[in-house]
Amino acid sequence: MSFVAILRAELFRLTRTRAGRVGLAVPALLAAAQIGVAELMEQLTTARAAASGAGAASETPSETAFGPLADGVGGLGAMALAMIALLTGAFAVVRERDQGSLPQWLLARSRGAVVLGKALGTCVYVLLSFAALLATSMAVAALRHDYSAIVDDGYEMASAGELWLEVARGCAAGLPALLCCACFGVLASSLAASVGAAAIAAIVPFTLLALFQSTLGSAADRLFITYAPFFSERAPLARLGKVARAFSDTHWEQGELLRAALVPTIEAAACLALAWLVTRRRPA
Amino acid sequence: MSGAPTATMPAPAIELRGVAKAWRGGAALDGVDLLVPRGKVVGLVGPSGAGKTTLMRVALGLLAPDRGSARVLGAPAAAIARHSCRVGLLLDGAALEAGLTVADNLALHVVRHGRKPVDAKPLLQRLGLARLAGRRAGRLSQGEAIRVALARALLLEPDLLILDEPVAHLDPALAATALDLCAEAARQRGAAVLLSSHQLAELERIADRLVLLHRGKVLLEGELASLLATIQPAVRIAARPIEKAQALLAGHRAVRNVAPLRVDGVALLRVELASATAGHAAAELNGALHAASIAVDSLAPERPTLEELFRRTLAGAAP
Repeated sequence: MSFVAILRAELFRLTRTRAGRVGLAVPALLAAAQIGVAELMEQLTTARAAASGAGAASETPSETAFGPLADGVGGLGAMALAMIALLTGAFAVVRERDQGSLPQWLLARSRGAVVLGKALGTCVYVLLSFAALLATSMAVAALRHDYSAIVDDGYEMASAGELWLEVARGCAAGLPALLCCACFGVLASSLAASVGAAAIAAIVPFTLLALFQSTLGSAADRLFITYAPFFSERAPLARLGKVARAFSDTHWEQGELLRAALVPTIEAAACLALAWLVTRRRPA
Repeated sequence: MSGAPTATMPAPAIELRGVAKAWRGGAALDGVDLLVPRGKVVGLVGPSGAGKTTLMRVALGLLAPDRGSARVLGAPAAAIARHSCRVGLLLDGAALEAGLTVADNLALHVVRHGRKPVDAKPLLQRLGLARLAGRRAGRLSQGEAIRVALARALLLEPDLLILDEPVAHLDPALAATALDLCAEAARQRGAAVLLSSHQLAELERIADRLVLLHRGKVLLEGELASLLATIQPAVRIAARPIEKAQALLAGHRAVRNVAPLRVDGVALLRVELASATAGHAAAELNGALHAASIAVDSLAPERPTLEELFRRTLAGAAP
C-alpha cells in the first residue's frame, strides 16, 4: 500500500513535535479538569443541601462513574479534539507547501498517496488523542465513583454491562464525525494558498454551521457537523452524558447511531476525493 | 547533446527535450535540452531568474512543462514517485520540520520513503552536525539548516541528486566539504548530480559538465574542461614603465586586448592573446618587452576560470 509510508511519516511528525504532543494531551487534560470541577461543584451542592437540612440528594439516583466518564468524553475535551482534528487536517498539506517541503513528500509517493496518507495519519492521531481522552476520563471518573449499575429506589435502572455498552456505542458513533473533521481540514488544506487561509477555510464554515445547525432543519441530518461534539446537542458524544445516567428521555433514537456513523464517513470520503483532485492539479 | 541511449548504455539520469514552461511574466524555460549522465556532476549556473529552479522542478515532475518531455531515471518525470528513495533533493531552501530535532528530521525522511532506519551519524559528523543531532531544526542557523537538508538528500544514497544552492550560507570550508560529498556520490557510487550554485569557484572544482542558463535558454552546455579551453588565453604582466609596456603590447600582433588592473596594490597588465597557444605567445611578448628596454617583473599565464566563462558568455548574450 503506497500510502502507508506517508501515514507512518505523518504520525511520526505529529507525535514527535512539541505542538503535536500538546494536541494529544490537551483534550485529555480538559476532560480531567471538567470532571474534577463537576465533582467539586457536586460536593459543594451536597454540602449546601446538607447544611440547609434538605434531603434532595437522597431522592436522585446514585451517581456512578459512568456519568462523569460520559461528561469527560463528550464535554470540553471532545470539543477541543474536534478543533484539533480540524486544524491538524488543515495544516497537513498546506504547511508543507508553505515551508517548501511538499516536494520531499511527493518524491516519496504519488500525490494521491500523499493526500490519503496524510489524512489517515491525521485520523490515527485523532484516534490516539481520543484514546487518551477516554482513558483519562475513565481514570478520573473512577477516583470518586464505581462503575456500577444505576439504582433508583432499590430498582436497577441499568446494569454496569448495559452502561458500558451504551458508552461504547456512543463513542463508536461519535468517532466518525471527529475523523471527518480531520478530513474536512485536509480538504481546506489542499484548497488554501497559505496556512492562515487553510485555518480560516476550515474553522469559519465549521463553526458557523455548528452554531446554526439547529436552524437547518432536516438538512442538518446530512451534515457531519451535526454529529461532531462541537456545540451540537445531537452529537452522540455530547448526548452520552444523559444516556450514561439512564435518563428516561435520552435513549438513542431509531437509526440515530447508524446515521451518526454513516453521514460523516461518506462526507470524509468525499472530502478526501476532492482533496486528492485538487492536489493532483496544483503545482507543488 | 548525445542521441538516444542504446540498449547497452544506461538511460541518462535526467533527459529534458525541448522543454518550455511559461509563467504569466513570460517564458521561464524556452526549448531547453538537458542531459545529466550517471556518475557525473553537472553544474547548473545562470543569473538569478534564469530559470534554474524551474528547470529542476520540471525535472522532478513537480511542474508539468508546457512543451517538450522530461524523463528521470528512465521514466517520465511526472512518475517520479515511482523512484522513491532513488532521488535526493534540496530545493526551496532547507525545508526542514522546525519542530523536529535534526535526528528526527532525518528519521522522518527515512520513514517517509518506507525504509529501515539508517545510521546518519557518519554523515552528520562529516558535515559538522554531530553535536546538533538533538537540536530542534527551528533553532538552527541558515547554514546549519542547509547542511541538514544536504545530509537528508544524501542519506539514502540516491542515484540522482538535485541540489539547488546547496552551499548557500556556508563558509568556504564547509562549502568545500559539502560539495566534496556530492562529488563522492558521483565518483564512488555513480550517482548523477545536478547542482546549481552561484559559488562558481567551488562548482568549477567538482563539476564535470556545465549548463549555463539565461532567460530560460541554454547558452552553454558541455564538458567543463572543453568549455574552459574555449576561453581566450591571457597573461598578467608586471612591467616598468607600465604605460610604455601597455602601448607596446597594444600594438603587438599576438595581442588581442590589453587592460590595466591592480592586484594587491600592484599595477598589472592583463593581456588577452590572439592565439590559443599561450606559452609561445607569452615568450614572444617577453622578448618584445625586453627588446624595448622594458623591465618585466613577472609574466604569468592566467588560468581560465568558470567565473570568466560565465561573465564572457553572459556579456555576449542578447540583453
